[in-house]
Amino acid sequence: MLKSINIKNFRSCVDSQVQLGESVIALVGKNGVGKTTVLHAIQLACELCLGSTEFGFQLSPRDPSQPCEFVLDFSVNGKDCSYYYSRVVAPTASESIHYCEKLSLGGEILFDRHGEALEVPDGAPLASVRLGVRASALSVLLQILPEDHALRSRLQPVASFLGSVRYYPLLQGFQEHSYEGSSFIEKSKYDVLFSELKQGRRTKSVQIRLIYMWLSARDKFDELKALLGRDGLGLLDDIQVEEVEAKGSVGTSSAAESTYVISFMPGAGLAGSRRWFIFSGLSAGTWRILQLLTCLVFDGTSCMLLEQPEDCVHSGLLIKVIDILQTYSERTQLICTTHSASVMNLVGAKGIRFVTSARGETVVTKFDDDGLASASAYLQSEGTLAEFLETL
Amino acid sequence: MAILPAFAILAEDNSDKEFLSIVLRRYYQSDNMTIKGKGYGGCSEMLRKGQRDVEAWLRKGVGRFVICHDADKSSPDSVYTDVIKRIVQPAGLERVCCIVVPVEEIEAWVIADEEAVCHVIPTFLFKGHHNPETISDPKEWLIAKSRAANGKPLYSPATFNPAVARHLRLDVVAKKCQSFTRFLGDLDFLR
Repeated sequence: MLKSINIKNFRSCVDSQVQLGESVIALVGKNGVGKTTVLHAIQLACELCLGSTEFGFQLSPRDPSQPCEFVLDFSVNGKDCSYYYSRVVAPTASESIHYCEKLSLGGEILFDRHGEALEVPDGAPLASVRLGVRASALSVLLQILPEDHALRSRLQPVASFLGSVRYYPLLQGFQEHSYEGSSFIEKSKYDVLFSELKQGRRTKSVQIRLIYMWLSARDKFDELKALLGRDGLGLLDDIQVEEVEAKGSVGTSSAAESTYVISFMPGAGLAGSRRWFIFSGLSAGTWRILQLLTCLVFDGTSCMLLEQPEDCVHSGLLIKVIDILQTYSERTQLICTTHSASVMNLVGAKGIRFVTSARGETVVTKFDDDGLASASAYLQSEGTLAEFLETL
Repeated sequence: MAILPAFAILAEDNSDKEFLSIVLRRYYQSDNMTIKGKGYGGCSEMLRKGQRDVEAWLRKGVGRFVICHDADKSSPDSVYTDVIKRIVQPAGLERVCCIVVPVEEIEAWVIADEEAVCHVIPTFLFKGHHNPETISDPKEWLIAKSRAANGKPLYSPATFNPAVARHLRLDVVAKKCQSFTRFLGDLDFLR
């Protein structure tokens, strides 16, 4: 579980301390105060530690002459971990490169990096290792340490945890949803993506996840169908994946190619029930819930960083979707941004984080003990948490 | 068969409202009966807004009311008194209203019938509980059991409670839960 992050000199965060030690966290506040920046900072801190660049977030310092810094505290298998990152993005020619990283697990420092120099606890065999300025210490160590090295066995769970923290942007799905021809996935294209998935790469596509589950993880496919189906949300009675032979275009000599088509049967009583729809025929709301639950079941992330789960979803259905996310939150921590009163009510006072802007700087706070007591008293005698928040 | 009057359900949340709506239809064996209702954002909101909503339904011809308020660590008697003072008396519902107080939450009734739960999630090998009303937090208890069994999917009450209600053996639940027995007795009176 992510416990906290301290963000310094990154976009609107000058020195923002964010407490995250709850299974479900909702970042609430006006547009433009920095809620998304906090999610991006968490994802970026994980990627910097791993040396990956999946989302392509840039270190965007508020003051380029000062270092961007992140301190990410989390727990892995019951042990407290802390990752410290500090870097000046654009040093002047006369300055040496400022690039520091430090990872500790259960109070023990696993590595301490200053520029090119690296210190590790079992130092002797690695004493002469110097790191390139683009390489993260963790990724280098995992590449060079032998499988049976004691340090590797301590680094690997940390890497697995941070590697399964995942940001889910709001717009990603709509690009996939509206792309012409997006409902047909050529088998050759899938095979390439399948081999990448097997190597630990991640896909953004919901359809690729569905095909993968249908072909290779049928228990997860059935789990998803149960959540969406008649006894679950009642949104989709059935999902089918078919492999069909697609003929080449008219006038061309291209051979027929196997193609996957995913079909969806809307729930009984809904518009379009008893008819099959392809992916691009789904409404935005249905697509959004399909995306959330597919990612929840398939990705098995340690932490979902989610933008506005309420987007496009009816308030009655949203309550059930949030309840599902909460039920799964022991396995997958949820940190979301929201403007929805329903989401705030469901998350509860302990999980609310207030994001505000003071002179252009992002400030993140939570209820103190008195605030929690006031919220609890209000809930018992007056009304909902969202109504209480309006009184603040 | 006599035509049933229109009902309205007031519950702490939408899931409880859906659950009770299904139980009502099954108890009265009527798929066509009119059931209005509202799931609030907790008991305090229901107590605060309930009278206003009841009066609106009365104007629309609703003749029977079911008000559900979890006991939630309080004594059922004090909850009854609170509901009567805050909603029933101000709205003049004394003879047309049934107050339901599940002990501690409606999930105690779900736990009472393990067969209904397993029918909805066949991979969840749920063994139930012989006396569900003694469980202090039945919702969390049920979720914990589902997690321990690595249920696929996990039991999410807001989603699966209504589905369980469709399969619930009313006689089995009545034997294990006094609050459910009392609820069915009140429904008989309201018929």
